[in-house]
Amino acid sequence: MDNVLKEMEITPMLLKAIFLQHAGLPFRLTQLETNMEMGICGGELRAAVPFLLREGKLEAVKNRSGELLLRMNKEGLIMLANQWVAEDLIPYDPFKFVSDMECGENLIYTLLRWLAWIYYNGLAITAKGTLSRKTITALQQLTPFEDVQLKGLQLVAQDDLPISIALMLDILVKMTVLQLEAGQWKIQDANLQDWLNLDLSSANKKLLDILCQNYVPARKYQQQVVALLTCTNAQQGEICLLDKVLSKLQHTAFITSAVEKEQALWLDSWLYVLGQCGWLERGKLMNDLNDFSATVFRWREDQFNQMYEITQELNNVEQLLIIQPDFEILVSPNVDIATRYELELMTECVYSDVMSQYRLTKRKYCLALQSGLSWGLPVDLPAHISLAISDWTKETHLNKAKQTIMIEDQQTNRPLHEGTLKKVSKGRLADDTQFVQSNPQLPPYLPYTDKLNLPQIFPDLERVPLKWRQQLSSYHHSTLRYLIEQAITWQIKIELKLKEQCVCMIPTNICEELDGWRVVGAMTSPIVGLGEPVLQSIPSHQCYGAKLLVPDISADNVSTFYSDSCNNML
Amino acid sequence: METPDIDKVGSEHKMTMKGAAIIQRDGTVLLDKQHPFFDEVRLKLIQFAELVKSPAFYYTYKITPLSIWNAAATGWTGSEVVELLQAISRFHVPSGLIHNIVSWIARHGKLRLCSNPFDPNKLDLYCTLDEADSLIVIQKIAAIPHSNLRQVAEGHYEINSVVRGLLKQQMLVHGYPIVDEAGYQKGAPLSFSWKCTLATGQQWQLRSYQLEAANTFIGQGGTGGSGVIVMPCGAGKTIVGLAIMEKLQCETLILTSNLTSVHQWIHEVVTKTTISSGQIGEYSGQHKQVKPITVSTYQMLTYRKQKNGEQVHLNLFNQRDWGLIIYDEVHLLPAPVFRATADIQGASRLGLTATLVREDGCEKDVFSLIGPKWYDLPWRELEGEGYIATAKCYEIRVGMSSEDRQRYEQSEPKFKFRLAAENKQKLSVIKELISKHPHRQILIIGQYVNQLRQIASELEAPVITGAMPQLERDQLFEAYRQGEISILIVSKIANFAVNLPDASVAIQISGSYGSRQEEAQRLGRILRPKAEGEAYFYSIVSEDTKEQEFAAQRQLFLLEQGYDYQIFDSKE
Repeated sequence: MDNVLKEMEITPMLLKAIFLQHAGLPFRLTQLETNMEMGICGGELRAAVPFLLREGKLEAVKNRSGELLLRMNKEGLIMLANQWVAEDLIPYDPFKFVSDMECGENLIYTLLRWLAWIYYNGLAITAKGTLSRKTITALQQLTPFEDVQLKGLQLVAQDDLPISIALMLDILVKMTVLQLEAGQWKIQDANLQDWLNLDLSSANKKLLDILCQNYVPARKYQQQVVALLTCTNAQQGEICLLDKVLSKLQHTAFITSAVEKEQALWLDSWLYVLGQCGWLERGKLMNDLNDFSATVFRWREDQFNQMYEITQELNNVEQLLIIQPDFEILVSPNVDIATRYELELMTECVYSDVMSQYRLTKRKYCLALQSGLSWGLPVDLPAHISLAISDWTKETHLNKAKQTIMIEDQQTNRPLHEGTLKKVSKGRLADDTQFVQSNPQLPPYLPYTDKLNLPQIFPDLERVPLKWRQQLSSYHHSTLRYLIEQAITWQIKIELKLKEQCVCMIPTNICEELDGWRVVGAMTSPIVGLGEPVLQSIPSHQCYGAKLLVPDISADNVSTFYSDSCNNML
Repeated sequence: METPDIDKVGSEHKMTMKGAAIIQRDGTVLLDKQHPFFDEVRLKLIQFAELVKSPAFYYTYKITPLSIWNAAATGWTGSEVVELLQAISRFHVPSGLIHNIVSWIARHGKLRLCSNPFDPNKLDLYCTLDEADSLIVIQKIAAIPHSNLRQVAEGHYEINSVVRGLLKQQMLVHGYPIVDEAGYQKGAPLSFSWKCTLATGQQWQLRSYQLEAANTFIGQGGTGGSGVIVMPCGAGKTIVGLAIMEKLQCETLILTSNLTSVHQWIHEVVTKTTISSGQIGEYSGQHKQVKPITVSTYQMLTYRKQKNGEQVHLNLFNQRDWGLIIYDEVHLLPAPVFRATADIQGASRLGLTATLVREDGCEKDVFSLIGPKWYDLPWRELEGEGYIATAKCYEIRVGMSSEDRQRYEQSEPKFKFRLAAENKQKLSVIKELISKHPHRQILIIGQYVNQLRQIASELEAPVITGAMPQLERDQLFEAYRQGEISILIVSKIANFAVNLPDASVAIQISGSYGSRQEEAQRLGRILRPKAEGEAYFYSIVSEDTKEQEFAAQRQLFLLEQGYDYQIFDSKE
């Protein structure tokens, strides 16, 4: 085997080690630590940072106090997740996949229904400044979520507001279609129009981003799971083996059962949310013996790719939107989002599925007319439906006229329907422009635009004798101990000369013994990430020579990681 | 997993059938009527999905455990159903539905009821369900009174034959269908054949769909068992009943909804078969004849002398060795008859109806006690083939006089509907409609006897209500059929099973609130094909009243079947 790994092999390995430590969260340079299982030491990771920054795999950001932090950039994260997950996908076979959590309605359609409801009803508040009970009750009928199922997400909602409602309202806020303006929540028409112009897959991608960015705790495990489960490879509609993906995340041995339970609960809730958004199905894989063998999930690829091909001459709205004589409207999945919104405003949704069913009712139609809307769907109506609509229109205008007279009598100038949203609760959260916060929530970071001045990767390098890192030499036990302690501090590898052979070790600590001390660590290869580390301890008296293996920080090319300093080992 | 039977799936059309249907997660299948392979797909679909409605553009089918068990009974496997769905589906077939279909179908045939070769009072029950399910099922069966369940060997039990119907009924409710292979008694034989030439000299023969329906029923695995046939009014359900009788050649009990219908059945049997009138009995208030072919009514069977008295006539089920029992208008079957039917599972049972819509949620009882639906023919399809008349439906809205309007507005809500229904202004519209159809046979149908009598007196036309003696009713119906009278006014007694072939205009002046079934059945009175072409169905309702709201509800079944109502103001 060629001992020199190529750059293309080393880079993913380095990224993987960083991902396992920090996922996509920001970290300080000093927080890159040794990954014993992978045989990569912290010093190597730190030394690779300049290279990874130059390659654009990492990016520099700063926190509120201007401190420099690093994080994997999105592209690197996606690349890594795609590579990892690809190994755990198996082709979708409907006979082997047994769903135990069906998909809900597509989130964008549910949100349109919320917007239509808010359009007509506003968000009424109590004197305490919270949403009124009546509003909460009405919204509970519309939410696709159940509070108990969201518990694992550990989201913090406004006082008295069920999390299932707070989350939906907050998504609308994050979409920028609902905003607080002078103490009133208002639908932002221009921003809404941007969403209505999107196709389904683009809307889904944007919504998924909103969910990932806002409702996932800033914790390593959760961030890792989200990156892996939502990568594009996973979204191709194949069956993904959940346990196999999770097993790669290297649970540390000291994780407490409470944390483990919390993580499991979170995962359940997260999958539930993705399911209720109409994107993902969770289930079991049936093996050849018709037993259930593994927990799996699969994305509905049709929600993220333009899978709804127009299979026949379904090329205009008239054929995508079919009005049946019984006032029922069949809505093909090809119908654009803007038309869907109009349907939500003008008709009642009976059933939402691949082909959704709406019903033209007098109640909803008259409500729309009273609000100044008019029927604008470009479809031919059967004669009896046209007649019904004209009856309803006549009746609505008549009632409106009567009401106008009454209002005039009362000398009230207030319009019948304001069409804007009423004042809603002032938030109890730190930021009152939102309904929900994730816990812990990631503070905002800005791109680091100043001249990049990385801290010293190996502090006090100049004070360490050059000989220690240039050649394998024998030292007095006390000097040898200093050398090893320096390696432990820097988290780098050392080369040790035993009786007949030279070995490479990642030292972790020094143990005192009656007749001296011994170095404990993992025997490994000097090549980054190569070989399987084996834990071992070596008494000091068996070490006949030692050398620090300091990664070459000035190297432009990561494949020459150790330049000349350890050529004798290669 | 079984290998799909390619013929069943229809591999020759698989590519071209693609996109014909949209399959929803709840098992709803929307079949595109404009798809070039609509007919082919429809014929496949009806084998494992139930037609729910068939309006203009998409036929709506529903895949349910019942429909899947029906399919399993005719040999479909889970893979075949799924493969066909994948072949016709415009989008992905939902995985949850696939799982349901496979698991439902896997239950079918795991519980089988067979005759006991040694004791006719016992039945053998074979159970091949997995252990957990077996345990549940056996516990439930043991809890059925008089079941006397006894284990013979592993998965083999003996059970009292008297609980045959109840067992099937209860286990179906629990989601475990029982395949009844215990067979049917042939009944006492009755040899007869068709009369291909009627007394009038006219030749006739079964229509293709009637033959298809009869063959489908008889061909249930060669058992000639039990089930329901759904056909539009005017499609000749009676003839299908006769065709099945002719194939089984056994003594038959026919139950129907009213005495007029009893007489019609007797008439059809006598005119179209070689069965003599001496072999046919009428079991009614007037006659208690029990003959090889006996025709009675549900009302007769459930009659009690006193409120809590015994239903003495239920014994009719056991008075002869019936090989076949026909339940005409099976959607009206009352609960006591269900109960009695549970005890006569040895006889073949045929249910006939145009509207298998039960408001009492007894569809499962129809399935387990009468049998599955074997044949269902959409109304407009038959119209397209010319077997029933093309009908035009109108709703005509009539205003109220200012006095009546005031009375209406001031009355309590519970009286509003009736006030609107009896709106006197309807009379002038009726007269106008009659004048529009001068040479037609016209039926005026209503709910309220007083209203009907008033109109009858104005029009000088005869009126038939429930109070009229049967003989008189029959005479009037016959005079109407013969064209001696052209306008007949009828109450709800003519809603069902009254055969008036020449009626081509129906004017509905009032009805039973929002009953979809009644609306459909009333339209059915004018659907017999006729020489003069189209039939006209007018529903007169009072404008801006409760009646108008109920009218919209009443029309739903027909709208779902693809009929289109044109709505007019009476001034138009």
